[in-house]
Amino acid sequence: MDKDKIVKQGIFWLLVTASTAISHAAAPAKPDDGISRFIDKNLTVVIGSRTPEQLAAFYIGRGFNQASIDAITKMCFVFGMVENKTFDTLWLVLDDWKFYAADGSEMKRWKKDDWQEIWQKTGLSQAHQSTFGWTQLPESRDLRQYEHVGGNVVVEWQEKPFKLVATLKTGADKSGEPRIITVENLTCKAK
Amino acid sequence: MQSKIIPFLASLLLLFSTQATAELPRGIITVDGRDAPALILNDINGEPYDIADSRGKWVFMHFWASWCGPCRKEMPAIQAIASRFEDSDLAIVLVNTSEDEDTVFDFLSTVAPDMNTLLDSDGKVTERWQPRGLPSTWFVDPQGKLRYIALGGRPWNEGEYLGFLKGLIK
Repeated sequence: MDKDKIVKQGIFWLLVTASTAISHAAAPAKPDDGISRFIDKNLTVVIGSRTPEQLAAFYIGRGFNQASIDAITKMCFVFGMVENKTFDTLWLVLDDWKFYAADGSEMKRWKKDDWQEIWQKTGLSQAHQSTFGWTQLPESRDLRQYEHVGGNVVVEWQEKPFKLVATLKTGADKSGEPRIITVENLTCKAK
Repeated sequence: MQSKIIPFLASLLLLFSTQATAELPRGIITVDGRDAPALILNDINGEPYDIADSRGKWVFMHFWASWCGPCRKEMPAIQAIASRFEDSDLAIVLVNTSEDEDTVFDFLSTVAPDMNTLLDSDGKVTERWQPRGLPSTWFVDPQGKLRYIALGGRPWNEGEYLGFLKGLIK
C-alpha cells in the first residue's frame, strides 16, 4: 500500500471515529458491526477494536517512524468512548477495566510508563509521544455532566476472543452505585 | 396572607435569579481558580506570545490538533468569534499540540484561513495545562486564574455560547 493511500485511509478512519464520538447519542445500535454500544439515559459506552492497518495508517500519517509503527501494530488496540449523561460524576479509571483472555486469565494492559520504555527503544520523538498519548484513553477521568472521553486502550495480543469487564464508579467520592459494562467476544484484529 | 405570599415570591425570584446566573452552557464547567500555568510559545509567523501579556483580559485558551475530528468541526466557529471579539477584552488564543508547521499551515489554510495559532511543537506546554482531551478550551480571567474549561468542541458563535463569551467581558 503506498503512503498516500495509507494516509487517506487513516484520515477516513479518524473522521469515522470522530463522527462516532460526536453523534453517538443519536446513533441506532448496530449489533453486527463488531462495535458494542451501551446506551441508556445515564451513560453511553462504545467499545470495539482497531485493525493494525487502521493504526498504521493513522500514525504513519502523523509521521511516526517505522520502528514505532512496528511496535504499535504488534499490540491489540481496543477503542472506547464513555459519556456521562447525569449530573453525578462518572469515573473512568482504567485500572477498573479488566480484560480477560479466553482461559480466564487477566490480560496485561500497556500503560504510559510501558509506552515510554518502548519509545526509548524505537526512538520516537517527544512530539509523536505526545500525539500518541492524546489518542489513548486517560488513566483516570472524572466525567462531568455531558462530558465524554474517547481513545484507545492497549492490551496484549490474543489469538482468541477476550472479554472486558469495565467498572465505572459514580459520585464525586466514588461511593455511588457503580456501573459495570461487560463486553464479550472482543477480538484483536489480525493483519 | 399577603404578608406570607410576598416573602415567598421574593425568595422564589431570588432562587431563580441565582440559578440563572450560575447556569453555564452545556459542556462548560467551573474550575477552582488556581493560577494558569506559564505559557510562552511562538505562533506560525514565528512571533512569540506570553500569556502574562494578556493580563487584564479574559483569555480563551484553546488546545487543538489537526487529526482531531471535533477540532476540525469547531474551528470555523472559533474563527467567527476571533473576528467578532477582535480588539475586545477577550483574547482568543489557539495552541496546536505536537504538530509541525507544515501540517498546521495546511490545516488552517483550508479550514480557518484567518486564524493564527501558537505551536507547542513537543507537546510539553499542553501536558502542563492538562486539557481534558482535545479539543479543550480553558478560560483564564483577567487576574490570570483558571475559571472555566469547555469540554470538547462547542458552537461558540451561537446562542448561549456566544452569550457566555459576551458575559465575560460586559
